[in-house]
Amino acid sequence: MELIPTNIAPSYWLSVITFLPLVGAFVLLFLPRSEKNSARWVALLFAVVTFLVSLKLWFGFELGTPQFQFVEQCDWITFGKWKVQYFLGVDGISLLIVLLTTFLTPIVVLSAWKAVQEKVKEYMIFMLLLETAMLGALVSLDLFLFYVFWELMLIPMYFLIGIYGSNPERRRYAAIKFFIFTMVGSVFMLIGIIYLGAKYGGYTFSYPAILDAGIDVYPQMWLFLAFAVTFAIKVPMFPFHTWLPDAHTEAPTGGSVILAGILLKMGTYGFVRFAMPLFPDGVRFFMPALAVLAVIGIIYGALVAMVQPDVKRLVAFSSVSHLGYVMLGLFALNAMGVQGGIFQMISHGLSTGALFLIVGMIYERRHTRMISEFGGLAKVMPVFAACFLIVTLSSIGLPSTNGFVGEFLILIGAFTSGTNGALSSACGPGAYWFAIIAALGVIFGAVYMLWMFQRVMYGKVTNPKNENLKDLSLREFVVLAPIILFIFIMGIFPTPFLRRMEASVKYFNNHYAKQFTDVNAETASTDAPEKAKQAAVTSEKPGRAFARAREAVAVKKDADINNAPSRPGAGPALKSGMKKRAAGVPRLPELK
Amino acid sequence: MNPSGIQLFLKQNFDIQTVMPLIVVAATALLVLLLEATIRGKSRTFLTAVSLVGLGVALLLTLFNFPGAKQSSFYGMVRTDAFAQFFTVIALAAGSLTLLLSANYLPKIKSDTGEFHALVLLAVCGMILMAIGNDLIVLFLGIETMSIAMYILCGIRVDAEKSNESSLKYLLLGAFASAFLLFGIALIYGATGTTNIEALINSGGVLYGISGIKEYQWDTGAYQFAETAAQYFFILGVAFVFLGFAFKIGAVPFHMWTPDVYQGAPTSVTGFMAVGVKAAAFAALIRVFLGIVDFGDLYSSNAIAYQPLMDLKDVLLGVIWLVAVLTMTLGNLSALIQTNLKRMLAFSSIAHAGYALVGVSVALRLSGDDRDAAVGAVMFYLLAYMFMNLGAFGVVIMMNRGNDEGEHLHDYNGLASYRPLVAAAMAVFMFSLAGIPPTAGFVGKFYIFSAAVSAGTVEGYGLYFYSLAIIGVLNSIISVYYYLYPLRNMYFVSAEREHKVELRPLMSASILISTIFVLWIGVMPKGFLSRALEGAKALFFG
Repeated sequence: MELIPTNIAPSYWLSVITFLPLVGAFVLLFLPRSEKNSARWVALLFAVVTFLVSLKLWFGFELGTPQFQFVEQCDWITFGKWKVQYFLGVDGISLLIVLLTTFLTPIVVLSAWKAVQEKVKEYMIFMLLLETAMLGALVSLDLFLFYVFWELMLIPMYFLIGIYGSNPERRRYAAIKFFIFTMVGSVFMLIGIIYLGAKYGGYTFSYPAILDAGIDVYPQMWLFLAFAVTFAIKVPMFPFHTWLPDAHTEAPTGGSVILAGILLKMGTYGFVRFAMPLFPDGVRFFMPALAVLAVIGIIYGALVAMVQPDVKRLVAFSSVSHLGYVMLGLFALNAMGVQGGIFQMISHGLSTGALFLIVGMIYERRHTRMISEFGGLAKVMPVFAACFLIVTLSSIGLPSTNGFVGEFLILIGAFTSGTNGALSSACGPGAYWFAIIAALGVIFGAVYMLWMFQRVMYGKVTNPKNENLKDLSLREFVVLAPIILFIFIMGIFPTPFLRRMEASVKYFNNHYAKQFTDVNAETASTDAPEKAKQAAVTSEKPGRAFARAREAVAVKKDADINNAPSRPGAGPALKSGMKKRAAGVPRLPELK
Repeated sequence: MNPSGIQLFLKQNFDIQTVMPLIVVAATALLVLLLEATIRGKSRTFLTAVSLVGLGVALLLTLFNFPGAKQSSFYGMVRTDAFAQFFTVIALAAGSLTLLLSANYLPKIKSDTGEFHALVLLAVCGMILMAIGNDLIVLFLGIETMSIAMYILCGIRVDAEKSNESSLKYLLLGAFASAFLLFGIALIYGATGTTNIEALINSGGVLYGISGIKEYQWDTGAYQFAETAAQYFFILGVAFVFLGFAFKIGAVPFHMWTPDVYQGAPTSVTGFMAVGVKAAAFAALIRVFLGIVDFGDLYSSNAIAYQPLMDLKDVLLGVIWLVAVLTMTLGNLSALIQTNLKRMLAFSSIAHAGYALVGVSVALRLSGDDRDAAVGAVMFYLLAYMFMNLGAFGVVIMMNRGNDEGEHLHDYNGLASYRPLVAAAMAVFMFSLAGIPPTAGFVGKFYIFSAAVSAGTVEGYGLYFYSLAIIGVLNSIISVYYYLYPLRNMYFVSAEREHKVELRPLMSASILISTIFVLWIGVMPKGFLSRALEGAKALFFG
């Protein structure tokens, strides 16, 4: 199926949404520094307007097609054979993350109302610039354009961490670490992008063109590695995660929310959009390693989170754990797992974003984030306690909150895939253990979140400084309320969200038809649990599949030899000799 | 002879129009010298204005009234094609920005002499000669004109020891390099009988030699043209010419002079040297080397070729590959540990020469459109580099408080809080130098690396060029660290005390122009790229 509709009606929605924040940043540039309040209002105005405009994408989105919508395409840079396009579009995969971005930005702007008192104008400029970069990366369908936005995201985030971070010494280190880590991965992706453009894109970087070209198996391996390392650093997956706690701990509240809510999703989005569909053979080859890393991430993140004395660091490590789920879901390569993965991206963005906001609110009051400093806050701040509890439960994945839907889908998807699906095919029998171990992570998640909640909120007010804390102000409530609303909406009515990604996810899964031929196509695409069970019963053990394939090769060779046109002079002796040799090929020599 | 015949003769061989920008700049230089002598005591700003007008006129002539493509004149001595046009523009723009930067800087370092302007203009003349030169002798003339002016400019701070040291060092080593270059030209002339690049290439690779190279033929008893010897002479000549250019570019292992000379010279001269001299040397390097690289192939089709000449292409490729890798890596690693911003930029300029050499080495291997793209990428890179580097040096100049103060990295502490615009401009330059989008530096690097990668896919030289691209990007990561360092100081560290940073109009204008171009080229590079490609296409004969 053509991913790009043939006759594109001119549409400017995506450009408007992407560059509106940039216009806002430009307007802010001309405000005098002392006008702190007007800087806040201008930024809020532009963020809200961007969100309102982006609602057009939600309502105008056509269901049931994996095609890109709201497509814009024109030439940007031409240089000899090379052609770079300005090529935008959204599909079911990027739509929700785009909306999450436009939804979170006004909240972040609002949350910085009191927290940021110095260099307000610059803060708002960086935020809006960041929004443009993120939206641009999400809607780019040209790999060059994507890379430009991808790198552009680093600049404002670097400044946000470095200037507005909490600890003067650590924040500089964290900012540079963040920048260099992300940069290391992305330059290899750059080489990969150039190679793809030169070899497969016909000197363009158009994503659909490269996707159609079909990349040779061998280059897929290192290309996938280049892309996967880039995105794995951003996600971050287990061995590449060390920048995350530093960056999170040092970043200002708004920075943390954006970082956890959207920037990390850029990594997982990169996997779904680029690394996985472009290189299916690479996925197949590296799947065992990546699935193991995802599961390690889940457990490791949870265990480390458990022992953190600092609330913000705890939430940061919980992100490592949660994004492990997302990765596991994506690698399940069936409708449930992938839809769950994408759903979990959104819900993690909401719940972890809200957790960082809440941590920020406590920090504003007490200027500490140490769990031991708190206790019994629920008595002093009842409204705050209620909000905190809801968000905590959402993060754990309690039914009727958004966290449950995502995690449940992922675990089911991973289990199905592990018994009879991509995971079991790539990793061997027993791949369902991934799902089982990951489910253990849910328990750990409940442990560290509830334990933290208990120590901070319940019990007696032990620290006298906590006795007179103010409850949520109206502004703070307005910041949290929309997120809490969506926590419930997504938890109770997940269907509208899932329906929007359905067709795209199906298309995504179809990429792997060739790589996982031994997977029952029926099961992979429809995914009814009963069918999965049936298939699991009837299917043979994976070890058999290889033996069967070998037999098939041998049989085919025999047939070839028998059907070979007999040349004059080629007697039956020659034929039988060929047969013997052919028969000898697949077998090991027997010991005598 | 009828008059129209004379006119035609003059038009073909003495077309003044072809060297008009050169004449304008040279005349301005002389005028400035005269004015300086006659109206002593007046403000130097007047001289700056006169020089700028001269450069501006030359720039307009170059941009809008340049003779058509592939036109050669003065018996083939100069060739005013789009390639020459592109580098002439770089030279003129670099000269103008340097003069703008110097206007307020020279009084600060107590070297406010009128000769400065004339010398900059003369150096620009040399660069233009190198851009339009179509003969090895003209190229040498250009290099010398440029270098002699630069030797003096480096030492223009008479009372500063460092400046004197810089000048002397540059002179001594530069003289060596010039000698090598000249010797190389002589050897090439001996082997081929011509110094004209076009004739050299159009000869189809047949070595005619001059009468001196003869060997005794034992069988016939006659003296004959010694073909083997000529080929060795030719190759030796090529090696020496490369050495001469490599010195001017500051490529490893001929880079030793760069840091000291760059640090000692007045900062505006340093910037001028880093972008102007480098760009001009690259222009000459490309024109000479891309012409003769196919010599071995051409030769083999015409006469008996000896192995050394046949291997010329591969050897050149290997040498430039190695030089490019060493230049990038050593430059970046050395810059990593510097605490003086000026010195750091000096080392980083070595690294940038390495990136451009990546493009050159790719162009040597490729042919046709791919070669044009690689050469165009180098040209574009040099243009982008001019703006970002001069901009960065401009900020260094602005921070200077006389003598060498204000160059240390910790002098930049907290600059963003009291001079936000200067800090923002510096941020743009640093990101651009590090190759982060959406800046000119990113687009430049991107096309250099894509030339390398596409060379890997097209040719059977995959390992060669992929490794070049990968080493290149690894180097960009190293460079990110040290380019972020001034940013860290400006934005993340609070100032112990606020330094006096004056926003003088001419200096600010120069920085503003650089900023605008860095961003413009970064976001809308189409026009610049197509001009570069045009230049690259015009370069090749036949």
